[in-house]
Parts: sequence; structure tokens; C-alpha cells
Amino acid sequence: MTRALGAAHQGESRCMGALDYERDHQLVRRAVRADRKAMRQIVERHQDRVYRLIYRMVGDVEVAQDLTQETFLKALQKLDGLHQGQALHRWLSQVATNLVRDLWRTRKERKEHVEFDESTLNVASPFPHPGRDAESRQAGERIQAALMELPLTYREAFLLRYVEEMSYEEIGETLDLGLSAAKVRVHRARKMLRDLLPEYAVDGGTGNEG
Amino acid sequence: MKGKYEDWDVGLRQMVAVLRRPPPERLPESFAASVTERVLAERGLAESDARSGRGVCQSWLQVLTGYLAALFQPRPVVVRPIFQLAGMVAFGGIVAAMTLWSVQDSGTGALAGDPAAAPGHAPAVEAPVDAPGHAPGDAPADAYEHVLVRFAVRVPHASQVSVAGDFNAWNARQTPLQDPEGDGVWYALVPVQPGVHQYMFVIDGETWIADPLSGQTVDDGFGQRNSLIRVEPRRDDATPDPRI
Repeated sequence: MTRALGAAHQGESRCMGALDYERDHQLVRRAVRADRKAMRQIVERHQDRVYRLIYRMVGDVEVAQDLTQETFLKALQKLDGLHQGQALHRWLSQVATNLVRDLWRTRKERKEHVEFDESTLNVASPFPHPGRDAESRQAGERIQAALMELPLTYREAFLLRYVEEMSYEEIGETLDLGLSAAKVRVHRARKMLRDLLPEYAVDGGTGNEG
Repeated sequence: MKGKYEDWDVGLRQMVAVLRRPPPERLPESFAASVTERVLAERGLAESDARSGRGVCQSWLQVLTGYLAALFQPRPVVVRPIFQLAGMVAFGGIVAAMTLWSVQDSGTGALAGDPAAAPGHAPAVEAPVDAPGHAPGDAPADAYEHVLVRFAVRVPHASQVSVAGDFNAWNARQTPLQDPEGDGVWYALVPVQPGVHQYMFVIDGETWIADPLSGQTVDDGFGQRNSLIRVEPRRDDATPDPRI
């Protein structure tokens, strides 16, 4: 079985080392048996990455914190649904993106305003950069605002590819897409962002992978 | 095959570097603990969580905090009246079913807990005992073909002993053992489905030990060994097994 797990995981997680995968796998086995320490370690190991992914998708700190909590609650309650060979970080990303989709669907049905609220970024950065902090924050706001202009389906594909560094195969599995559809979404998202942020469209001719 | 960064250009790298920064506010320090306690509370295992060595008071405080946090989370709910009605009917049905089930269960439990069926002052561990050999005079198997198995262990200074295994989802609170004689020999009759099961004894809610007199153990994957028990199906017409 160990060999089968190893083989399955080779194609699964590029951005995690084999040791991380094995460690996650051990923690999951213990957490299924309600081991408190193991559950806590799972959350601590992945909370920052999941929180960042959700925040970049929704652009709101409070909503992102709530959804991060929901993600782990849902994931830890259904750990036995994680099939062997599946990397925990990708499964968590899948749960998170599904929750964000649900939120977007609800807001659309209630015709709420779903655009990015720039005021949420006017909070002091926890990692200040003296001298260039204001400029850096402004750039961050512009890029996040542009990202929020993208339709959710393109935004999530872009983030999974470039921020989470997933392969197109992993993106396809996470978003329930085919390989070519995943490539097309990432390619179009990148093009949309370049149109929205022309100052970042330098050397833009190399990205032809769709 | 393309490398990871082959489709990246300078502008894209700059954008991604910004997007990889953490959000402007960190998660609360207690985030992981709070989430864990809520999950355990919803599973009904907050207190019985194994092997963490935490105090009960601290656990309950965290459970309470988790519930309070959940109470203050905004959750819009829209329910059609017909679904409300259906929900009430379903709820009533569930309550009725659970009541009937518990009544049936307590009937079996009375048989299992019958002092006349329990062993006397056992100087050492008597469990596991396969029901076909020992139970015919004690109690019958229940409607789900469970077999009553007597678990016993000698722990002189314990204030609470229970048995946890795959037959009760490793719940350390569900199946307490009794020591009515006060002689340190704890025992209980537990309905178990036929098959091979793993189990351990839990002393005072936190110390997990394998059955000291069980001949068969298996590695639990975490540095300890679980005891093994094989429960044979009950045979109504079977003659007593001469090996037991």
C-alpha cells in the first residue's frame, strides 16, 4: 500500500515535498480517530495558505477569516472522505473554492454587491517595509482590485496556478475541469489581468501555453 | 514538458509576488485551537479526546468559546413554510425512533449489567471472553446479531475505566467499566458484532493501555499496540465449545 500511495502522490503535489505529504498523511490518520493534537497540527500547517487563497478570492478579511474557519471545520469533519493518495493541501483548496463559490452564488441570488472592497486593505501590513510601504501597499491594492474584476471562475484558476503553484492537472481536479479547460481559464485570466494592469504587461509575449 | 516557471514573464512575476503576500490581518492566535475544539465538540468527543493530556476545564472553556463564536456568526436562513412543517414532522419521527431505540437498548443493557451474570472477584483480567462459551447463561445476542463480550481489567487505584475500540468508534466515554466490589477489578458486558476487533482500556480518561492479559496485539501505527479480540457469531443450536 505504501508503494501505491507513493506513486499516487508523485503526480499529486508538486509544491509539497514528499516529507510534507507523508507528515500530512500521518496526521490525517490520527485525526480521523479524533486525536486533538493531530487536528490542531493540520490546521496550523495549512491555515495561512488557505486563508491567503480565500482572501485573494473574496478580497475581504472578515469574510476570508469566516470562510477559512468553515473550510477547516468542514474538512476536519469529513477527513475520511480524503481518499488515499490525495494531497491534503489540494483537498483543502478544493473545499475552500467550493465554499467561495457557494458564497458568490448566494450573493448573486440576493443581488448583493460582490465587488472588491478596497477599504479592507487600508489596514497596516503586518510586515511593514519602511520607506516603500505606501507604494507597495498601493500596488497591492491595485492588483487585488484588478483580480476582483475577474469572474470568479477565472480568478480561482489564476490563483491556483500562480499563487498555489498547482499543475494544470491539479487545477483541473480541484475545479472539476478538464485539462484543456484549466489551461484556457488560466490563459484568459492572465490576459484579462494584463488588460486591467497594463503597467505589468511587460515581456508579455512568452505566455502561450493555452 | 514545461517547467514550473516557463510561462512566467517579468510583469506576471511582479503581480504574483504581491498576491503571495499574507492578507492585511492575521488569523487570531487561537484559530487552530478554536477550530479543533469546535470539530471535537460537534463530534461529541471534546472531553474524551485521547492522548492529549489536557485538563477538562480547559477543554470545556474552549468548547464554550467555540460555541459562542458560532452563535455570533451571521447565517441568513430562508425556509419555506412547507419545509418547516416537513422538518417538524421529521424531527418528531426521529425523536420517536430514538426513544423507542433507547428503550430497546436499555432492555439489553439491563441484561448486560445483571450482577448475577458478572464475574466475581477476578484476580486478573478476564476479558476478552467469547460469548459462545460464556454468555449462553448470561444474556442472548440482540436483534442485530451482537454478541455480549465481557471486558475486565484489574486497575486498583483508578477512579474511572472504560474500553474503547473500533466497535464503539474509539470513543473513550461511551463504554465505562464498573467496579461495584471496589476491589480494583473493572468489568462490563459490551455488545459487539462478530469479527475481529481492536480495543484498548482508558484509565481515568487519559491513559490508554492495551489489555495486559490479551495474547494478541497489533501495532496501532503510533508507537503503541492495540489488543485484538475475535468474536465468533452466536450459534443458538451449538453445543458448548470444549476448548473454552
